Amino acid sequence: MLEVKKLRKEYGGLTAVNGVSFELQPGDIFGFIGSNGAGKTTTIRMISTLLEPTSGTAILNGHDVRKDPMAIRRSIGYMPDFFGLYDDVKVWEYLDFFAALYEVPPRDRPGVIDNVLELTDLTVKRDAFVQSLSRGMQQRLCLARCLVHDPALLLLDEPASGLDPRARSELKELIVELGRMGKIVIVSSHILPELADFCNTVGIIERGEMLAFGGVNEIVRSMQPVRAFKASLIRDGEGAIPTLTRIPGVLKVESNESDLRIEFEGSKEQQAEIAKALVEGGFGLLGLREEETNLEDVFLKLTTGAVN
Amino acid sequence: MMQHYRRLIKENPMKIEISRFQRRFFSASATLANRAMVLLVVTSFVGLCLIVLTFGAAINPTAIIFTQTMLFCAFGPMMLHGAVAGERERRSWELLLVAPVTKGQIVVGKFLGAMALLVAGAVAMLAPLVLSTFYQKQIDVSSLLIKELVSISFCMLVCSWTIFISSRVNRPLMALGVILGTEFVLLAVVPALVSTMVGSDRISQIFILYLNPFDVLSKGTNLFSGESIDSFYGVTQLCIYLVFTVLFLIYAEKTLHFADNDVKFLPKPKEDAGS
Repeated sequence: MLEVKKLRKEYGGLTAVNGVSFELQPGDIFGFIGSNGAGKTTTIRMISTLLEPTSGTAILNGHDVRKDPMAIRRSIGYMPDFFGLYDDVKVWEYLDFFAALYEVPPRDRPGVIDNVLELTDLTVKRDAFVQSLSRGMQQRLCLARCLVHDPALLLLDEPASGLDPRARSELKELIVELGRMGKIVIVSSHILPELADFCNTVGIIERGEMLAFGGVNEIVRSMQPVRAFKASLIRDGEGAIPTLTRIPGVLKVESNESDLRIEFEGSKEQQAEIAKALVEGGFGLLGLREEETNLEDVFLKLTTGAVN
Repeated sequence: MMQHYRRLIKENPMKIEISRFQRRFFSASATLANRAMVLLVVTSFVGLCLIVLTFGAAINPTAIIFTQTMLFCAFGPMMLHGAVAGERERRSWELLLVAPVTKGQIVVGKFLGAMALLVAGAVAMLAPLVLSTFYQKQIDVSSLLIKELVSISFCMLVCSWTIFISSRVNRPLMALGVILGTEFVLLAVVPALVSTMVGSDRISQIFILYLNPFDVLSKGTNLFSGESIDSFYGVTQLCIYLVFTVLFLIYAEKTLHFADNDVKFLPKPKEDAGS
């Protein structure tokens, strides 16, 4: 389990991270969302022991980042937003080097390397030079490096940046698989729709403060207390407003030429009344659909884009 | 002490650097520059052996140690200038910092990696050295041994100086320039200036050139006979070189500690529109 408790980082007079707290369980895939300079990378770097927190701490499976950084390092796999690869070595040599650094016994290393290569679908590139790999493959190699010591927590900082759609999709599948294996995965990204696809928990950070934390649906629901429907009509929608506002549960109706936006808080039966009223009133109903709030909308609503 | 030995040397996972260095210079994946360096050393080695075999007694064994020292002075920095700066440049440094190794282990691991190759070089250079002693009628083995140790310890100093500089700069080539520059100034420019300015004032020369290994090698040292002023040469320099080696490694490690929390891109405070 990962517990982040009131993590704070100051650089002189600048507060980069201000009391960030959250808790993650094994198998959780946590999407860490924020604009550039919001404090995502600083938080990740504090959890990975690269930066010492000014105050607060993070505890992974009972090990405190401040008191026992070595134990934390043995339990995490950190993938920064750059590759940091050695060009002049082969894929297996690169993994062998890091396996040695993470104290994997020499006799176990070939098996471990084969396993992580298989998991990241790089087995055929075992003897290829790192510099000959495509960007997507290099990204997967970085992930393979993070996995050689079977860490409990994976910290992936912008893992999908610069990848083409296919490589992004493959990476997404891989992250889901890692979550299934019981690892805690923290992914920071700007590509919000993708995060919503595979993260079961998200956190939105701005100016070093966590604005929202929880399940994707939970956050979306909290940002959208009432449901909204969009109705497309043949005729002008203005005339339908009095009819609709009489239906129980309808809170507000806005018209934009032949389109209507209906805010509604009621039962399914009352919801059905909306369609019925529009059809029977002869307004020429073309379609009625519920307006969906996605993660991107939530992010835009919550944040202002300001940085410290 | 034993704990430090165990942590930094015996159980240091960064000893993997030894095989990395071997791979970098001797494997099929070695770069062109590294191959050229190996070729230079091999050519020097073969050339020295041939020269000794051709000229026999005319070749002083000290000249071989002299050559070895020169090669080490060039080879050490070329191997290690990217030890830390190179990791920073390719941005692999953070990957080492999040591994379960201390900064001390990283520094010592890099140093041991280079040492393994240089010791192998020194062992290889024993061949022409032994050959040349074979031709000599009288040979002072203890003096020769001290000179060999002075040569190796000076090389260790150069390597630790290289790591120290490499840990303080961001570009490997900048590190190489600084190291070769200081070597050139200390080993060539200063002795040349001293010899022209101080002239025959032997005491002044000793003070200024005392730490120059080539000056040490040029003395007819007999450590155990204790004759004349030359008895100051040898073990003393060896000890000084080793002390400075350790100091530079310690300072390199300290440098890495404060580099930990540096912020490269702190935003500048915005000025008021009216100001």
